[in-house]
Amino acid sequence: MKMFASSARLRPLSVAPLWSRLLLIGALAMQLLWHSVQPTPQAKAEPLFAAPSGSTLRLMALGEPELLSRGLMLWLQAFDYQSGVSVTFQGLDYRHLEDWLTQILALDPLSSYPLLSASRLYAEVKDPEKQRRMIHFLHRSFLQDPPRRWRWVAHAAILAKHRLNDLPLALKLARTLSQSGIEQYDIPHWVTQMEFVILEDMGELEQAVQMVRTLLHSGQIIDANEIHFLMERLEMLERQQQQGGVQKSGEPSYMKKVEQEIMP
Amino acid sequence: MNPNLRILSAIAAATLLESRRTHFPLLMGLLTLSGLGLSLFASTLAITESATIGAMTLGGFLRLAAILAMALFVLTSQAREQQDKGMAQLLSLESPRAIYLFGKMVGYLWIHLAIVTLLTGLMLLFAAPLPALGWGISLLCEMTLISTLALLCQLSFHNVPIGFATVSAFYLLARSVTALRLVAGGPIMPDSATSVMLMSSILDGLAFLLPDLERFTRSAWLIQERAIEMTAQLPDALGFVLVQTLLYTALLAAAALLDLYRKSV
Repeated sequence: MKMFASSARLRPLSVAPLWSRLLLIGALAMQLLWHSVQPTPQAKAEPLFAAPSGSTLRLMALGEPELLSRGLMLWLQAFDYQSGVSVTFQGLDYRHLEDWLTQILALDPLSSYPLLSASRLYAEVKDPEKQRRMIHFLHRSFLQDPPRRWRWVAHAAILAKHRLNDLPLALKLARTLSQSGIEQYDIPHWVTQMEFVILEDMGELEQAVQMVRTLLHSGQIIDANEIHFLMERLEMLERQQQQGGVQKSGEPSYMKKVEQEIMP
Repeated sequence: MNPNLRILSAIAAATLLESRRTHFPLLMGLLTLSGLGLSLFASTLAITESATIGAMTLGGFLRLAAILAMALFVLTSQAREQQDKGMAQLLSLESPRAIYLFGKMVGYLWIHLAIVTLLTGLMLLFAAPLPALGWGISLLCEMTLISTLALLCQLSFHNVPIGFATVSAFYLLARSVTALRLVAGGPIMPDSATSVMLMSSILDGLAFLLPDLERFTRSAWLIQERAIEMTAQLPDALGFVLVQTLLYTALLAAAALLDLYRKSV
């Protein structure tokens, strides 16, 4: 195949005038020198602007919304890392960020990239308002597709409990999980059992006992270890109820296990 | 007139004539109209800053359209000349082969000037005068760089698809290598990963060899609200653009010259 000019038909390099060879070497050297004297690129932290509407993004996708979704996530990721994680995240406008994540997720609802970024990156800032915004986003996204997105709202519940110390919010998220009907899908049982742990934390022992009893009698739990765990839990809760106080024995290890399972 | 200069002017004039005969002005006119339509559409979609969004969309679209159209024109024009042996005839003249290359480059420069005059005139309707002029000068430099690269590619590869792929890849990389370096060096990347280190080194190396087109023909120059700020920044920005164009065009032209001199006619 005659793709390139045949080297057999090329004359030796020496036929080129000396000045043209010197020009090549000189220009190359100058290019390298010119580049080396340029300042190292420093990303300036620019404010995140508002996301365009979904229809505009669909139009921009040129029939490839999944591709645009990934591309925008990479762009958003690079945007966040303009000048370092801690500074940039705090400096981002989370209202706009939430809009961007919503639109990117709408471009490809099967992608978990925006949800992972929201729960593991953007919700890590030490700003309760911003954390709440991300939790709200995760909660809202979960309601659109519970079987696929339970993992993220479970993580949001943990964030609400441990980072925000907002037990009512954690309970709301745990209840969303347990009442969403996702138990019919192949998901771990602890997902729907988070509620009673949070109830226990809140001192709502009666409700917690009631919930564990309902779970045990529902017939959905068939794993022997899990039944054993719940029985133990029930006994402990009843004992606490009789003593009239809250003892959190065993709770941290349960939540730790949950956290590990959320992010394999 | 020096006979070499006469040949150079004739080659440049023939190149310009060819662009007219192949309806290149019509193509540019249609692209400009498409850009206007797109910019009007974008500005009507915007809730706020509609004039700015319109100007920036138009600027961004016209920049890309002019570059790609010009690259394709250079590649196809050279391919035609290679096929009908016109190039072989010109190279067999007594004048140095460099005259042929410079003649072609001057011809292309005239075409760039015509395009840039049209587009800058249009941009003056949407943006402040000085930034719009700066945008036009920068576009002229960018087109010169890319058409010289296209010329080199066609002289070396003798193949339009490969040439176009090379020019496009070069252009995309040159416009994004700085951003890629920032992402690769960002805190999310594990420093210890070999693949990340390798990619980071490759990107650093590429940045040395490529012109930084990210600093050329910025649509941000066309933002009316920032006209004063942009005008103040223009001398520095254009200084970089001009020096970079000079250096890199010399490099590409020298490479094309070596290739041209080595060809057997």
